[in-house]
Amino acid sequence: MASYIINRILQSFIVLIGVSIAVAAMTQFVPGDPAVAILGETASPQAIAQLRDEMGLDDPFFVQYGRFVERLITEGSLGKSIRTNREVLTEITDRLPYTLYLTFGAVALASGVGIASGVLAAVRRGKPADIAVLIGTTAGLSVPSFWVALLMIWLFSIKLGWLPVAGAGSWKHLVMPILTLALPSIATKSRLTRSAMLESLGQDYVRTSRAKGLAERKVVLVHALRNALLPVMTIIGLQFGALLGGAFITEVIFGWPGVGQLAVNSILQRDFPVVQGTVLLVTVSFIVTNLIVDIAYAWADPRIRYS
Amino acid sequence: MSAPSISLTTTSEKHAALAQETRTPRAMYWKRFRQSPICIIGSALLLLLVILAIFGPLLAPNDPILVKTADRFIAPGSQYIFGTDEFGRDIFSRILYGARIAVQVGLVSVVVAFVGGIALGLISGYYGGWVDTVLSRLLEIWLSFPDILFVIAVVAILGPSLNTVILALGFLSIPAYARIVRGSVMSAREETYVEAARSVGVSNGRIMSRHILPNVVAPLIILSSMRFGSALLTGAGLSFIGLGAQPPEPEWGAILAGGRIYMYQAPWITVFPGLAIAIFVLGVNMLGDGLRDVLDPRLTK
Repeated sequence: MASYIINRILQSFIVLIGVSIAVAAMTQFVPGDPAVAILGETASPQAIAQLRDEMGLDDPFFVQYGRFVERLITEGSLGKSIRTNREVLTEITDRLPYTLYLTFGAVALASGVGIASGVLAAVRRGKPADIAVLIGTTAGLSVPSFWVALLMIWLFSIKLGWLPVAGAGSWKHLVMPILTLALPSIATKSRLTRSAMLESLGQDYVRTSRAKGLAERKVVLVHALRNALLPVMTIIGLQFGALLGGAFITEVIFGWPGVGQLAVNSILQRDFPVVQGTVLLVTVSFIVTNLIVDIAYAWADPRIRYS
Repeated sequence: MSAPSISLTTTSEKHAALAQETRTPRAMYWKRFRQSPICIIGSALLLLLVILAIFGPLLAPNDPILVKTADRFIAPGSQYIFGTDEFGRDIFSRILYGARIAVQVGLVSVVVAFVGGIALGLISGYYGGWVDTVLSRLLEIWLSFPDILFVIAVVAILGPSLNTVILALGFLSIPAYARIVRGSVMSAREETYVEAARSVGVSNGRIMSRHILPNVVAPLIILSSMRFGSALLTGAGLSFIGLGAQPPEPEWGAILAGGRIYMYQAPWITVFPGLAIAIFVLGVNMLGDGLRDVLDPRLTK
């Protein structure tokens, strides 16, 4: 177990270094001169040359990368926003809680509804309930969630006046963004739970528990579900990271002041350091979440460690 | 051929021929495909989308971009079947033109991923050794970016445009293709028939294309149909928030975005393009599900 964990951590560490290189290299591929982007087209050549020098833009990439890492470690700094001149890290951490509300809310909702409907579909295999869940999940994966968001705004905000159109502040503001974000992942979780449940319901130990006269309810919920949940757990971990990154569209629609909206605005306003910071931070949390999930998985299922 | 000679082929021979025919994988898949309602519905919808993409501009009653201020916000009716937007443009015509963009997004991104993924997967799996180690690590880093974030990063570098989004969606899927190809190359490399081909002097390239690639066709078809659907969705989503197609391009997500502020007075601007995305993504997803059942019976539950 210990060697598995160490191995897995080392692996993630290598990936982290790779990701940081990739993110730092993003600057290299941007067409045009970042110094011109900051100072504007009208700046004098001297000013541009001076800023290029200050930013170290003329150094070779690995020198620039070294500086990027050094600044990150010694000062905990990801550079400054071109637009607001504030630390990129503060810009992001100011907004992170908002994105986390959405993400946790959506993960909780999607896991609850997804697992419950998946179990239902598996137990009622081929019956109307199963078909209803199948239709529901197919729709959930096909209907664009941003469209559903607009239809919800039309219904709940414009027609009924129950929920605010946009912004943050009360629990009411959270309802539609969380629903929007959870919609596609309810469908994935439901489908995965269904197939995992069908597999574990066909196992010998389930037949044994039935044979010894255990109540069907207990067989399903205790014996079968416990084993079916393992793969579902991995997907929850993966989706947590994907949702962190995927809150972009939802946050823009609902004017939610999270990291996603920050990133989209920064792209549109060419505020490159903020984009870089967001990409790095979200990807790192994605990698760390997956690491935790993998270790939890190995702890729960000994077969993983030895394969 | 004369009649007697036909009668000479015995019934048992005929049965054998028939059995042979239905037993070839292609015939078997085709039979299963025809019998699967979701395959039929899914491929019909995809076919409709392709027809609209090719003939949409011919079928469209109006110019999708031309501004007609006199015709602003006309509700769906006999004059404009899906109504008009804030510039008096015909929503129906815009959606028809948008079909071409939708197919472009799905098709080009899948082709990019297909070509890139097969190349990387073949190289990685066939040569093995340090080439494989380096490429595998690279793919791992690639995959460690959450999907949308990867696309966002590419858009951030190259600037918002539909072409950037298409390219990014293609690059996003390369690792998924590469992994499938690599895995099956690795196992095929050890097969006797590959060894036999090599021993008679068949070139590496020919071994890969004739003896190894056919093994991965089924999973790649399934993956492609799934990615086509998700490319449509993500592409429309990014255009919706302004990172993809730019106005006045009649991309479905962009039309939706344009109608957003007029939802109170003209909900039809947002209803119809959303419906178009939903229906065709549904079709592609159904086809994907169906193909998986047809081509990979082990996964059928």
